[in-house]
Amino acid sequence: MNDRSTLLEIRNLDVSFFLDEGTVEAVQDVSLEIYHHYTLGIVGESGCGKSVLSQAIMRIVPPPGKICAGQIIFHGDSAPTDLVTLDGKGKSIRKIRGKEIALILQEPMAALSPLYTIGNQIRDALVQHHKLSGREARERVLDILSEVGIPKPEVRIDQYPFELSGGLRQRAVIAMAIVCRPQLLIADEPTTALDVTIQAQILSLFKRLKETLNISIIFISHDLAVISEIADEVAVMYNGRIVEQGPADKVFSEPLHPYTVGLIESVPKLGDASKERLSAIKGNVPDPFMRMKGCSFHPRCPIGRDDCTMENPKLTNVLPERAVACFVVEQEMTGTAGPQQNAVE
Amino acid sequence: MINYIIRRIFYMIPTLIIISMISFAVIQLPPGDYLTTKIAQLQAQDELINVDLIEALREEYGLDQPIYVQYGKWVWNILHGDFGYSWEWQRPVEEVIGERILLTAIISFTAMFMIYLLAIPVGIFSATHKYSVADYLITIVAFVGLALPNFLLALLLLFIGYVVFDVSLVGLFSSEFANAPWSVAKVGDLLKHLWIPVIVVGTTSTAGRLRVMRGNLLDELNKPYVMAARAKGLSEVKLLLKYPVRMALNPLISGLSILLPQMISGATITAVVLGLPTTGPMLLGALRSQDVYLAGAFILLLCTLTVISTLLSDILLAWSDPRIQYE
Amino acid sequence: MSADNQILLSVRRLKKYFPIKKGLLRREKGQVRAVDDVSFDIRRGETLGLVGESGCGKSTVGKLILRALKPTAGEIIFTLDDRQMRINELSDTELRPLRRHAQLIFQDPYASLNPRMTVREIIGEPILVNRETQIADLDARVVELMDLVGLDSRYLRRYPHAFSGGQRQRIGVARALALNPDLIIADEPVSALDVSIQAQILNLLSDIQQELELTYLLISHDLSVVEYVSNRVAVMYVGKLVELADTEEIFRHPRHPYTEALLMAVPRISERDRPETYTLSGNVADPANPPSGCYFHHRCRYATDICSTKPVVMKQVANGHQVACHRSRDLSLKGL
Repeated sequence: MNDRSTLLEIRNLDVSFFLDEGTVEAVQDVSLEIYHHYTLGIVGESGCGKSVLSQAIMRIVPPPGKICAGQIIFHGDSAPTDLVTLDGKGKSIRKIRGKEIALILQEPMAALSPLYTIGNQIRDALVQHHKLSGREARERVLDILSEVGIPKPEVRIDQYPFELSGGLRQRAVIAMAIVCRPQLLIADEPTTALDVTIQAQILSLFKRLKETLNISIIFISHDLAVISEIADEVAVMYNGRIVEQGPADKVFSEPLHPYTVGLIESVPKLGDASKERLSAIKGNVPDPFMRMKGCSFHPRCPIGRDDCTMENPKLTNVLPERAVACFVVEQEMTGTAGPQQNAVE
Repeated sequence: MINYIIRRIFYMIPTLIIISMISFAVIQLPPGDYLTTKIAQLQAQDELINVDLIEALREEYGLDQPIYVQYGKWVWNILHGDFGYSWEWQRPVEEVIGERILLTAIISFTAMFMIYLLAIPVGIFSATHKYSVADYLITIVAFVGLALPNFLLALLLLFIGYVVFDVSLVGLFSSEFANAPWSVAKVGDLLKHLWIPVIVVGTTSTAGRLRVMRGNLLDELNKPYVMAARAKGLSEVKLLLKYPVRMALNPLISGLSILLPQMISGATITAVVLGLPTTGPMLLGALRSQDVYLAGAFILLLCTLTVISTLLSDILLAWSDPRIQYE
Repeated sequence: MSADNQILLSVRRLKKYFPIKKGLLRREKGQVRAVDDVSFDIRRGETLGLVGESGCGKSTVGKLILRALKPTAGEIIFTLDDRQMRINELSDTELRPLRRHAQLIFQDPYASLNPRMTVREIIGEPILVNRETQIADLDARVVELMDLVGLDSRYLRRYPHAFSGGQRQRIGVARALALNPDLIIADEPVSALDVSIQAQILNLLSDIQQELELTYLLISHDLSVVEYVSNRVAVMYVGKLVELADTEEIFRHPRHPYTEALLMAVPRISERDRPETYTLSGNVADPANPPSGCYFHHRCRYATDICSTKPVVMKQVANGHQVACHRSRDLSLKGL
């Protein structure tokens, strides 16, 4: 896999929300690389910063949120651009939004305005980025509707979102995102609101689109099983940071970070007849306003040590392609790490 | 859509019948009738009462008959364009109210136009620039506008007109045009005077609607579909107008239905202060002197107007929000 | 599960139709068959899982049992000691004793707790309303309940907003337990919770079941949760039960093609590139306008002519295994 070329590079990204109640550091020191024709899965629970990360890439973090540091370098067809340096409302970022990078939001009903037909809403991005006549645009919308597997597109194109079932609505939202053939598709919990059988349909649609459109996908979900089914690589987020990263099959078969281990062990697994007691992660998801010294998983961690509270562990490569942010694991694997020595990358 | 409109019109019929009954009942509520009031007046002035004339009038208008007969006669005549006779003005009601309704409508529609023309864009600006200096200024002005009673504003404007500019702002016409027949010059004179009542009548509603627009839009701006539109690469103005603004307009559209009758009846005090020849003061006078047919015609018109404007705003709403027709 | 297999709740031919009103005069133009001819038993001490996709009527079944909705037809019989309560026939006042024996745990821990009531008031309310305890003893009882569900009883006077989602769901469980019920209906009790919190609540539910000898009806769309918690599982599709069997039996040897499809659709961590992925095509049938024959036939890959013409009924195919499928005997379906 050495020949893979980079499509998007995130370096040391910090995003914070400046609220009256205090500052929420939603994304902290996140670095990621997304390659061409590749699916990166991001797993995490509510409030871990995974949605904010996707909004940051699109440069649509809603106020009072702000990108405070870091770079997001997009290697499109033209020269690499750092998206962070662009004007958030300017023309250059708008030429990338919807055309090069597209976003799919969680709730298919909420992502569509109830006042316009789905055809109308899918057409938006098309006429924004291409000079097309009304008839050409309609043809393209019809094509994309059948491409995402919506039956009878010539009827559906003129229907309102509330006239469609949940599954069809999510297909329409996907059509809206891919209508300009973007290179990168960010999908934020795209199957969470759907029933299992419809979820399976949408997942296989994503797999198919990745092949037919030759795109890269950032797939965000709280559902480990969904991520394990679709992702090439997975990044596990906790409290704004990536705590573990690696090839999906390896991360799920041999998780390293105690949080990843806890997540996998806490969900009941289908077909596991043993009915052993689930080992739940103790405690609660941390309060976003509270700033913790040291590793933020420490209060819930079964293997934590006293020195875990001293400073924040950095994401470190402990095996080829495997990175983890945990002093204890790092020491076990490499024999060297601890808060004091942890200056290396 | 057509089915929806037909159903709404169908629902209107019983509403209107009930309204006409209530209107008639209301004007019959005070003891006695116009004639007894008139007789009392004449007696007080020691004038000779022509008993035959009184009896003739009584018979003509069925005042000596049971109430439902009076009601039947009243409705039957209205359906034929005859609203009855105004005792007070000694003329048929439709003649008396005709011009006043026209002038009232001119003021009301101009004010309505102004209200929406101001409230919507300023509301949008205020919401998209939340907590900026401009937003705070707009908010302060809007609250003052909401708090200031119309008649006080009218007095204030009159006062400023007299003291600062030395002009009389009372009435809708200059004295030379007041009783003149309609002409181009009279229309011009009307336009010159129109802005004062329009400002007075429209200020509160403008301020109110501005706040509604701002609040609605602020709610809508946080909705995921706005983010989805932004993620398509649309420009801020374009996506704003197409998505959240259209959604935020819905409550304003449904608010249209109250606005129209509110302005006609609610501007009474203003009209008295400003000496406007509109319907408000006349309705007040008719109610005070038990001029039943005049008062009844007004109340009926007002209620019918409410029903019709509700229908219009509902149709507008159904057109603007496709979900409504399918309820 | 208790040894005597005594039946606590019997549901017989339960139906709930909602009218559809349309047109100029809003006349009744049809019915949504939310629950259509559903029969099952719940044995004392067991957990019956009721699974199905959204809109299949599973939550309506729960509401009918608690008589939050009045059934259109059918019987719901609650057996207590030697006494039987026919829930479907009772009037509102006669229903009060039922409230003591059957309680509900809601899905959304944020919406189901009154934000203006303290934890003490929320948990104590059912006790006060049913005049179970003297006011003086109320605090002691609430503290006992809080200990039972793993809430720190120092937080007695706090309001719900001070608690996390998992803790709120514990409050909801404590409220459901306040009257010592026999049956608890849990409608998607963990689906609104974070992944790491779900396990805490599932463990809690199984702990208190053992401790208090509770009987559960677990309503969920999540097959792994249902498999983990339930002794027996019933599968619903468009208002009808299509299969009912012991958990292990139904998951290993499903006899209904819909159950098979559901099992196939669930993504699993352990089985990444599943060899045979078969995704169910199409959408759930419209309960207002169901298709002829078996409601599932237009999505079923095994359907034959008879499936589109002849209606199906639940039939016993093995000991304790019921299925509503014309071809159940000649199909060999794939389980886990």
